[in-house]
Parts: sequence; structure tokens; C-alpha cells
Amino acid sequence: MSDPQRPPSVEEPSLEKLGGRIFKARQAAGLDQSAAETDGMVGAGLGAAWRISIEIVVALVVCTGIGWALDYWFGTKPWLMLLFLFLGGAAGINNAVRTALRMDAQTAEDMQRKLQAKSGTEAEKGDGRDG
Amino acid sequence: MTVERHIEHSSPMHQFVIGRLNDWQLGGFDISFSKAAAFMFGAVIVATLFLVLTTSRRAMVPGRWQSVSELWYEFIADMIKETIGSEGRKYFPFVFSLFSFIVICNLLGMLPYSYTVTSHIAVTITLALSVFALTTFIGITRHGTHFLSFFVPKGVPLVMLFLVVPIEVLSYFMRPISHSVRLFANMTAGHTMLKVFGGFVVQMGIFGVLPFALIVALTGLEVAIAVLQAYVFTILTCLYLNDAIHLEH
Repeated sequence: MSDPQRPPSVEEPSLEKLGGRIFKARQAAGLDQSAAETDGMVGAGLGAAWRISIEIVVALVVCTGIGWALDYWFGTKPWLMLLFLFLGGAAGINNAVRTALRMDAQTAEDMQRKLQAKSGTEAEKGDGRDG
Repeated sequence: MTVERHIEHSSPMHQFVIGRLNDWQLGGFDISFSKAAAFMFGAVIVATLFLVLTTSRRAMVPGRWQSVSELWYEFIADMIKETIGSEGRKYFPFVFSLFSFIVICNLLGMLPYSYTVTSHIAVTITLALSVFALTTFIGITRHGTHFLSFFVPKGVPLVMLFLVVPIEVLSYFMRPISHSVRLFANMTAGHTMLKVFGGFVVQMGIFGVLPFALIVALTGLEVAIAVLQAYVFTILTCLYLNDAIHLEH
């Protein structure tokens, strides 16, 4: 990432150091995101919302339906429906929590990889040891 | 055209009617070639032609079109590598075809006067059930009876197992349903919304400019959702494959 606006000066090394520190600070504060990255994040947020909410709704509705159908067959209204309502809720939460945990792990992994890549390029650039 | 006919045509749900293109009957079954079938064939043809034509030159330094295909390929290859690992490589053709089919179907649906195949639960649940069948088959062939341990979480007291195992089993069988409903609901809701606002443009006369502007924005959002939902469907397929291969939640 070269910066054409920065005028060449004698104090290049220290300026570069400062630039590196600002870059790192902005990164840490989450300010430094390219437009493409934030676009992706909005989309990813939407996707995440859909992934989790559908999980709960579907499990609840379908399990209650199964309970209702079993009641209809066995003539045990409304006990199986109630049982499956709770089982469905549990299954939905189970799936949702699992999805969320997995997404968390994925994000953490991505962040780590990104940070590693960034610090790797910085180390290549120069002495890069700041902070 | 009678008034009823007109109302029926401007209904927001009319776009989802599976029109027949001809009238074939076989042994009492209706096997007519439908609009849905035509668009599914269309999606396969478009995806195949695009990938074959853009990569036909096999340039060492890819041109614009070739790099689209390469991005497409690498996107799925990376996804598999990240979610499944190296063992997932052999399922690449399956995952790639699935993603390509869904993304092209979704995007074809964004063209005016076209038809969105993935707005039908029959289509999405067929895809989801084939993923479900494949992952269950892989799980059983790779792990045998040990596959059943998937439903018994570790570190749960014996008494709780009577409650936990049924919940785990139900969770497992809910997968194809949530997998398919997610795609179907997104596509149906989006296209219905566009059609409803489209109706407002006509009804509101000069003030129709407002819903028209909204439609422009919504169309952009819909294109993003078309790609995003194809991505979500594919990454969940990868996660389910990973569960079946590594037997872990």
C-alpha cells in the first residue's frame, strides 16, 4: 500500500514508523475498513441474521406440526403437540447456538489470519517493530 | 382482457405461477415442460457455457472474463479448504455445481420477465434433501455405527441423555428444512416485495416516483441477496459435509 500523497522527506523512516502505528491503531479501533470490506460485512450480517433466525422458526414450527400430526393419529390431543413444541424450541435454540458459535469461530480465525498477513507485510517493509 | 384477468395478472404472487409451455400427459401424470424446468435447464446451460467459454483460451495471464471464472473457482475452493480441510477436496465438484446452479438461478430471476426457480420450496428442498442424503450417507459409510455418536454430546450426564438425544436427533432432521426454507423464503419475499412496490408506481401516478426510487434500491439489494443466499446455502452444505466427515459439532 504505497501512499502517493506523502511527500518524500529526510525523516522517512520515522514517518513510516508513525504511519505503521497509526495504521495499527486504526485497525484496532476498527476504523480502517475498505468500502468492499464494509459492504461485505453488511451482507454477512444479513446472512448471519437469516441463518440464525430461520433455524429457530423452522424447528419450532415443524416440530409443533409433527406433534400435532402425531396427536391426530394417536388421538392424544394435545399432549404430544405440547411435548414437541418444547422439543422443537430446544432443537431450534440448539441449532441456532451452534451456528452462532461456528460463525464466531470462523470470524476469529479470519481476523487472526488477516492480522498475521498484515503484520507479515509490515515486518517485510522495514524494522516494523513499534508499540 | 377482462378486469378479473387483469387483477390476477397484477397480483404480486402471479409471478410464481408455474406456467406450462406445452401439454404432455403420460399415464395420467402431467409431464409438461414447464417454465420452471425451462429456467433450470437455462441456468445449467448458462453456467456451463460461461465457464467453458471464458476458460477456453487458458491464458497464463487471465483476461477479464477468465479471471471471473477463476475467482468463482477459487471462492469455492477456499471455502471448502477453510470449512472442511483437505479431505473436502473430493466434494469440490458437488459443492461447485450446487453453488453455480443456485447463483445462476437466483440471478436469472433478477432479469425482467424471467422466472425465479429458487422461489419454489419444491426446488430448494430437493437440493437440501440431496445434501442431507449425501452427508448422512458419507457419515454412515465413513464411520459406520459410530456415526450415531453424533447424536450423543460428550460430557452429558446419563439422566439428561433421555432429553438431549431426542433434541439432537430433531435438530439433525430440521437441517434440510431450515436449509431449504431460508433460500426459498428470501427469494419469494424479495420478489413479492419488488412486485408490490411496482404496483404502487402505477397506482400513485406522479407520486409513483417515490416507490420507483425505492425499487431501484431494492433491486440492488435483491441482486446482493441473490448472491448472498447462494453463498449461505453453499457454506452450510460445506459445514454439514464437515460434520459428516469429522463427526463433530
